[in-house]
Amino acid sequence: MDCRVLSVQSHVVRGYVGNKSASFPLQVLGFEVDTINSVQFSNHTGYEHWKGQVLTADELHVLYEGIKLNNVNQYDYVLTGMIFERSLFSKTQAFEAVSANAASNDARANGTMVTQQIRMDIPRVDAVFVGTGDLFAAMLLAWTHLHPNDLKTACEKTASVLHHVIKRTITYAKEVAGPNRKPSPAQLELRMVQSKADIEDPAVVLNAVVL
Amino acid sequence: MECRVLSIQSHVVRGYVGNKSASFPLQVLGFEVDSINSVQFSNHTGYSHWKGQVLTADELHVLYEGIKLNNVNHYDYVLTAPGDHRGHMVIVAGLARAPQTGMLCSIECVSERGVSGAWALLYHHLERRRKRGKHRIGYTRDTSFLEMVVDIVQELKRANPNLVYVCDPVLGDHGSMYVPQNLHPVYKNKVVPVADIITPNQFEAELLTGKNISTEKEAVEVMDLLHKMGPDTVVITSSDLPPRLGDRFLVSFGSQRILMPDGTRTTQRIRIEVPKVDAVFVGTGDLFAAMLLAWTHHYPTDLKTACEKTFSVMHHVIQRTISYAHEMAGPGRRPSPAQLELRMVQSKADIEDPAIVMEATVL
Repeated sequence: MDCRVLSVQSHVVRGYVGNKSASFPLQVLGFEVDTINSVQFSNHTGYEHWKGQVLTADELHVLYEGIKLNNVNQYDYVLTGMIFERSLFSKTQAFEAVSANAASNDARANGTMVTQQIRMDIPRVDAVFVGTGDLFAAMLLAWTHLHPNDLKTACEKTASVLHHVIKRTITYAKEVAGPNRKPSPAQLELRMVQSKADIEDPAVVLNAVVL
Repeated sequence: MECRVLSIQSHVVRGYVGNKSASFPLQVLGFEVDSINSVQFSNHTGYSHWKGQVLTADELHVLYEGIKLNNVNHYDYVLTAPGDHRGHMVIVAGLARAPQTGMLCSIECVSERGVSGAWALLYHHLERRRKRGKHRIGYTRDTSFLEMVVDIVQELKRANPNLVYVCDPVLGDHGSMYVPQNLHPVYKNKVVPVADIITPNQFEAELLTGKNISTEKEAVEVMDLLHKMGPDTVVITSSDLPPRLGDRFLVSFGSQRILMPDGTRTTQRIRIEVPKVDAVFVGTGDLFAAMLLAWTHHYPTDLKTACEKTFSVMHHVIQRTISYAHEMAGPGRRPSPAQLELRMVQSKADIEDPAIVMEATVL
């Protein structure tokens, strides 16, 4: 499979949000992932402290220019996340763009368009996770790519991966925090590298209903 | 396995050098990798064009401060290729004339023969132009980034005395220095003394010790000198010594000082011959250092096996890459830098469990 993704998201030194959350799982599934880091922070903003630097629009443009000048600006997918205004001390979000361009052809052979709609019930988890949205978008990209005409299966796999990663994470977090103690943001970081096998081949544990 | 690595290397949007080369393989092997990107560039400098931004020593410090304030500055390993940043910082001061913003101009850069490392290619090219009087390049005397890295390593070692610092001392190759002379003493006097594992090539090993290598005996002596400077594990990644297996191979050496249970020290030395490949790769040194970290972690007192696995992974990745590159380029055509990017994600299985394809001899 020669599939190239351009992902423009944040980078954290420690933990799994933005590009850190999206890259490894996509690479494990065989996607080539080019990453533009829109920020570089020590960690996500749910910790007590966070520090780092933000990319300006000009700087982002400069990076893209480099890719373009080398004639390697050919991508199958673009993946973006939250983009912050340039200020370390303000948490204002300039705009939120969550888009995974998954070219899902719902066109039938005779030219008619069909819309697939599904519904899923997903178990709630009693904790605040960070980076799960980014992981979800990345995995939806992957599974709609691998099942382009089958939204049911794509969603079942995506939701199942999230389920496995979250379950592993909460188990670990509680173990490290100790009995009756609320896990810290550091302890609640997604158990990403430990979930490699689930990412590669997620056991489907949630069913989607076709509407 | 709960093992956390702090990797301070460059980031490229496209391709595999620095952190891009080190992270995925380490993560695939189950290591937690925290990565500080010392620069963000569109791609490595072997391409016709490259553009991006650099991190200053202050910005590096700020990121580390964030980690420290949250009390998560606990690592088992630190991984760096410091020469990487320094060479780059010099170029920024010379070309951009705007060191505060770190903005760089796009330049024409022709790939050079036999050199490895992204910055090496550019630096070597600029050096040649400078010597021909075509450029005025001011070399900054600022060694602050490198010194900040050393400060961070020392602080992390105070927090965890068992921390292992893996350092690829990128200084040059085949007689040419990639980095300015003023960094050489920082390397020798500050960086190498705090390193635990170093992966110099022959030129770098000679430069650091001031001693030439023209025989196997001298290679062993140089590695012993390097041990005296600090690191207990030294791998000379390549040399010009004549291979026993013929000229399609090159010779590498390794040496590891181990503390025995009775308090005495023993040194295990190996020699390994590795197939040569007729192409210029970028990012292989960074992959090597990362994989040596991984395999010495799994085989802490068996350098022979650690090196066999590390060199074997390199071989598999390079073979896959060269096959793909030739296929893409077409018959009789030289592959481009873009085509020669390491086939990293495609090599996942080899990274996870490398078939050993070369044998190291214990000296």
